[in-house]
Amino acid sequence: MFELIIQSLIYGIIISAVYGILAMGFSLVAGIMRILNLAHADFLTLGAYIAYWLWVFLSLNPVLSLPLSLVFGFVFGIVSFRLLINKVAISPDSALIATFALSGAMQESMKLAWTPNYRGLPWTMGSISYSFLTLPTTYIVTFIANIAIILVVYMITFKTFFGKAFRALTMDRSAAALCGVNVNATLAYGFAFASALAFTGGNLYVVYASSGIHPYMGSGLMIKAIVIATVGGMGNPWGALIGGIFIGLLEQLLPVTVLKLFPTVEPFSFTPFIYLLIFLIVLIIRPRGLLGGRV
Amino acid sequence: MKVNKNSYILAGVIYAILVVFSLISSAYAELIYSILFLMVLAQSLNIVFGFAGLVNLGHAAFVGIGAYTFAILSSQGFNPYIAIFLGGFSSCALAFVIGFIVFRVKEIFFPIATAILVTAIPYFIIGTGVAGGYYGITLYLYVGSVYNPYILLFILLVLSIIITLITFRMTVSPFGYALKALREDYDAAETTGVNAFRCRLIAFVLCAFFPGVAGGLMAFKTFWVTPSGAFNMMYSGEAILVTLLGGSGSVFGPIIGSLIYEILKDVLMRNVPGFQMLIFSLLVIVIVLFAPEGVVGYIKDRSKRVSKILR
Repeated sequence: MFELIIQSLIYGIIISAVYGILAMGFSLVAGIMRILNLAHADFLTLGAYIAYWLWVFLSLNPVLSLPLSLVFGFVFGIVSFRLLINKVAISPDSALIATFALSGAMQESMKLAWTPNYRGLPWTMGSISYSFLTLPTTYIVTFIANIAIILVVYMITFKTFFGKAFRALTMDRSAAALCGVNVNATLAYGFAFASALAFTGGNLYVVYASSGIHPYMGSGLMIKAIVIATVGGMGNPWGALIGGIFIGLLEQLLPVTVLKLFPTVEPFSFTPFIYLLIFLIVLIIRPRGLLGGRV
Repeated sequence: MKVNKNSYILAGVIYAILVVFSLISSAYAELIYSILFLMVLAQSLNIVFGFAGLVNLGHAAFVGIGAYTFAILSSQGFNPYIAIFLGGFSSCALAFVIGFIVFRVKEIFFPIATAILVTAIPYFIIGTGVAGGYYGITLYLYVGSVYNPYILLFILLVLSIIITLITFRMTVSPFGYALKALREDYDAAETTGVNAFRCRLIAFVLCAFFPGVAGGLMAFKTFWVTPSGAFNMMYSGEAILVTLLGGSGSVFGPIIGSLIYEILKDVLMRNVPGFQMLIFSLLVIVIVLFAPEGVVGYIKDRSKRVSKILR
């Protein structure tokens, strides 16, 4: 029992870092553009498939292909911003519908490109054991890469002019424009930055996805990203990280602890219900989220 | 103000054509059934989405609740034709609770909260195993003996006509104007004395009744409900697509939209199977970018005379 809980805790921390990366980009776009990008998780799926292809064709493992994925994500973000997002961002509702449709279009084209079968990559490096704990080495390497990405995001947010600009945009767009922030360029780069984050998140997710990746996994991840971003405070990437840890731990720990007390309940289906319930409660009590307002 | 008489005649003609086609052959009846099913979903969505301007992604949840209410009641020995309508009332109750919570917080959370609803309820059903859990409820034993496709078609037709009449009323009634005012400028509408919370809640609860009944009909027709089949995001997506395609906020928009959509879907599934969802997703993007008013809006812009009839 105790071993199981510790093991779940460690898996929870590992997976919550990926959720953090996923929700950070979503929250960032929500903050600077005031729209919800419902296709964000499908960007992650596309990133995962690119990591899969880089593995199949160039035999690059997902951590080595991170820089390539970053570039792909940035280019994809710029292109989709110029072609679609920029034009529908005028009203939140039309942006919502357009990104919902974009999500459907991406899922369907990924289905046509890679078939709906589950795909995984057989990347193994043995495992590390310490008393009762056993972890695949690939998880640890990927986790370190994940933390590195989060640190890079931290540096960009707080140490560069671009970071300052998009934080200013989150607070007040017209005031930021008056202070000399190039609004259009910052929006485009911000969206591309979020998209690149999602693509790298896909690279990391492909390692952890135990049953493999499939074109429609974006729908489930999108709901998670929305919950995480709302719990943490929509528009605040750091809130998203905290929300990610919260949801990741909840998802791993609930089935082995509290839900064990209710034998009739099927734990792995009931856990999502609990965090969706928490989401609704947060919505009622504190719609701004845990870190809402502070960027 | 009054609605132009010719508008009523046009709606009557469309419904008459649908009825005639459904009586010609059973294959047409199937097509008309799916057209009317989607029409009911889209028209009820239109009240919230078109008139009140709230993006409601939760229509699938109402369909699911209606289907489950129908399945549970009729498996307990209830008369299926009464259980269908009780499904509508249970989805109204759900809409009331959710609307009560959501309309008090910021508007940006409305689409999210309704989308969450669609995903949360199936997890609850599968997790706790109520109402058959993952495997759902098979209904043939309970309702198979009284099943008649033409009665279901008739119920859908009546529902659709009722919503059409409600929507006609809304284009000229104070309530409809209040919703439109809230859509255009929330603060200004509230300042002039529109009770935003109450108006939106009424519209939301009203529009939840019809998908609930449609869900019951869906369960009746397939004799089977499952969590993933009943609470399927497809219903929300299709309803939004059809409303946008026809023209949101207009009476004839959802009607024309669902006619075009179902016929197009039929043609596409025959000719390019597997591509239809991609084509429809791209179609939504094109509509949002280039014709936000839909087919009805496009025709209205071209001709003054038609725009009087085509509301």
